Amino acid sequence: MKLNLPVVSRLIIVVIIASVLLTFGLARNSSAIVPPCPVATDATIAQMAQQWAASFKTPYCAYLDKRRNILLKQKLVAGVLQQTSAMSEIFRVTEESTSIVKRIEKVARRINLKNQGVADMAAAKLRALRSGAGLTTYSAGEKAFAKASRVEKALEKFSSTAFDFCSRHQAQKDAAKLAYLRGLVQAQELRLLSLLKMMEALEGER
Amino acid sequence: MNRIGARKRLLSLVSFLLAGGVLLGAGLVPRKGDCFVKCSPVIAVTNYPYFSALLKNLVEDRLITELRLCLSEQLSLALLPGSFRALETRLRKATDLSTLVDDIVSDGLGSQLAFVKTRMNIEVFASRLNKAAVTALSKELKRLGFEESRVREVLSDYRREFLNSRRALATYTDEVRDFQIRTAEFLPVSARLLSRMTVLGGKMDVADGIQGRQGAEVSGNTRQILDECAIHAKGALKNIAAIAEVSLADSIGRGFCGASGTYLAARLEKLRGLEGKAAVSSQDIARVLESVDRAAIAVPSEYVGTSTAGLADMAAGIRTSLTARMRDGIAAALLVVNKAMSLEKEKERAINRLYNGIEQEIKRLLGDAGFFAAVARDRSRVSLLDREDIKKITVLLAGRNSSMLRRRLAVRHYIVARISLETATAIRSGLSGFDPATIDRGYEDMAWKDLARFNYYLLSMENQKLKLLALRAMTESLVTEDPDVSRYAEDSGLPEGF
Repeated sequence: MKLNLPVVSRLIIVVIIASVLLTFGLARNSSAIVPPCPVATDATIAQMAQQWAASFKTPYCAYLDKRRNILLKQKLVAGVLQQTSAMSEIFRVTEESTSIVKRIEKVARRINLKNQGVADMAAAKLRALRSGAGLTTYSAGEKAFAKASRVEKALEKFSSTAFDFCSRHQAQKDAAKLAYLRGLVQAQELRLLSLLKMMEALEGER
Repeated sequence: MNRIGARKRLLSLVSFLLAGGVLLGAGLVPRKGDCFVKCSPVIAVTNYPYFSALLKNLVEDRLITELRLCLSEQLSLALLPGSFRALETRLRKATDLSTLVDDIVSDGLGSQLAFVKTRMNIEVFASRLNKAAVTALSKELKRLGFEESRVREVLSDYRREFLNSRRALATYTDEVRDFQIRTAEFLPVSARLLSRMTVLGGKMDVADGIQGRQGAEVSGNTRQILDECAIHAKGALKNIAAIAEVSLADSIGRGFCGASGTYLAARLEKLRGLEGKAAVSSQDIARVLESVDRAAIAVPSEYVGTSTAGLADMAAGIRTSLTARMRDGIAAALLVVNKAMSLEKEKERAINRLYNGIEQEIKRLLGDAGFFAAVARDRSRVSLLDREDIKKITVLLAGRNSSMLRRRLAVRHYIVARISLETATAIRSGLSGFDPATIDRGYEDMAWKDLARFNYYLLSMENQKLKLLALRAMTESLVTEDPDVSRYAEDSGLPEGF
């Protein structure tokens, strides 16, 4: 049997092409040694990342909101010193009572302006002023004492150890309230001191 | 003919050489790198939505744990006591709930870690897996009608040659260890969170109790916090379990079952030849392998579930102990704090009570000329600052020859001045022992407490000063001997608080 040369050549070419195809194509893809990995392209990774971020955002933000509300609530809690309103109310009472005003007017009316010299008239006026100052000072002292007694009574129900067991926000509020109350008390003191000094000044003329 | 044959041989040789060269070249050409990368078992066995949910849960657990720790720290700092008059040892001890919590939590953590070490290790998992595989194999072999001795022999070989071999263990060791390590790493974090949060809850309960803001439940905040921690720990363990289940199922499904199948197929093939039974077909062998695989695949889920349930039970036990201990601890702390507060007020009241007692006594003696005379005639020296002589001084003031109003005013004036002196001494001695630089060493939160306390002292002193000034104003007005003032004073009487 004679073999035709072109047929053999064609056979050889077919063998070569088949081996190339098998090597780079089918044989490689059907390899049983290396299993195929799941395809994770940039697009799918980006999509997944978005999904993770979106699904995580809701619970995380919900938790943060919840906690923020707790912190806000803590900031809104009233201080431990709860008597401050009652104490500031004590100082809201008017200083001069009508009875004192009437008495001062009565003293002033006693000054006799008829047939008097300047010195006598001045002395009479100063006397009236001294009486007025004395009355005002006494009345102011009386009222201040009553107020101080009421404040003392209000503070009796409070112990400063409570500050150690409250939150910082409560302590801040209480510190501010106490400073305000001190302001009220000091204003009262200044008033009394001024009246005393006025009285002293008028007494110097006696 | 010969020439043609030689050309054919030459061409054949050339073509074979070329084909060989091509194949060799193809083998040498570098392949795409990604095919050599070991694929992630998680990605390989799960779909993306599942993986996404798992990752989200893990991130959530991690971040929210950090968030919880951070916020609890912040809240806890806000509840620290001030630096001034640092709580006396007894009070500090009674109100420090961390010792109560730490004991229980560290004991609980110890038990949990021991559980992880002894009940979640490779030996335990291997034992369960082997038992399941052996049981399934034994059942199948019996079903196929093998003799008892033959079954025992096969099972013994299976255990010795495959199940206990390094090859079999290697298929799941990493995954079991990962689960064990991940759980062991999570538990201390969870315990730390539980400990800090419970102490915070206790502090909040004590604060609420002192302010009388709470109803019947003494430990409401603690209970809520414990509930929150329990949910968190349960969720995190669930996530760890889910990951472990996926990776273990993958390793068992691919590695273990594959190797086991190969071994059993070969072993059963030999058995078939020995028995000479036509009934044990290839289908029978495939069925045996399938049963063993099914039994093995079910083990990871059951193992992970049992382990997680065990840990959850222990966590529940810790929570129960903490609830009971904290309830008692908070009640005890409240009792001690309330006692300390009463004591503090008691010290303040004691001075007032002493002087008010003297004043009341003097009030009764105001008209008693005999007593006044006895004190006046007494030759012993009267000291201004001696506490024993207060009564004598007030008697002398009360016995003066003036109106009842003036005498009472004088007595009161002196008493208030004495109380003020005592108050000033007490506050001064309290303040002098304190180094203000201590405030620098504490947190800002603590400084606020001190500031509030100092403001309280200032208010008390200011109020006392106002009282003194008011009495001075009244006395000096009367000293003017102005008839209008005297008349007014007699008419209006003494003010409230006298």
